[in-house]
Amino acid sequence: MTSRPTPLRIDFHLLDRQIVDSNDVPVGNVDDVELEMGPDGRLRISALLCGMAVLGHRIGGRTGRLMSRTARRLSSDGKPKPLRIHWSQVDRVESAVILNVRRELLDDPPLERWLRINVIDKIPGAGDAG
Amino acid sequence: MRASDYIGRIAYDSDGRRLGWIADLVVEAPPDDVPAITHVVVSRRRARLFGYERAEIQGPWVIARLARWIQGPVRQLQIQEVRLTAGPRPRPES
Repeated sequence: MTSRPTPLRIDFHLLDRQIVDSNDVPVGNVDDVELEMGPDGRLRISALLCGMAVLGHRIGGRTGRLMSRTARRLSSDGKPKPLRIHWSQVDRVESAVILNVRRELLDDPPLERWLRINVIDKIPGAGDAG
Repeated sequence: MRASDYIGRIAYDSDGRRLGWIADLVVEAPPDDVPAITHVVVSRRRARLFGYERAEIQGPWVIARLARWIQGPVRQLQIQEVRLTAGPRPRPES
């Protein structure tokens, strides 16, 4: 059952809220909200965005630039790709944003991807886990 | 485009008069439909809102008064009343 505050405020109800999947497993935080122009000419929510580069862009200033630079360094191609969660995957907005999908079906959050490739996979025996 | 391209920016009306800072974007939608922005919350001060500007939010009166004093006057305008232009975030006025 989809449940969202009405009216929904992007800054108050979404930004910085924790995102959990359908099994209450943490996915990340809402670092920004992607908007698109609908066919009726109105701005609509299209997706939630997670990632250090996204947060850095939102914060701006020296701290934001530092976060964006760090995110670029951590990405393999210098173009950090945020975790993008389509709005149709949002089930409920409560004290957290609850998805109607399991985390395994989403892309890895950028920082987690970097840690897996550069740290965890290099630990001897990491491939035997699970 | 992103919400952060608008939140924290200066809002102007259709005649170019400055309305204040965009503090929040209000979206409404029928159930199971994609929400669209219908209103813009404009604050005279550039500060994040605490929620006490909404009538349904009641709290300890000391905190509510302090929050309202910090955030200053807040108005919720229909999106048609505001000229939304995404752009670089301006520096706070000194």
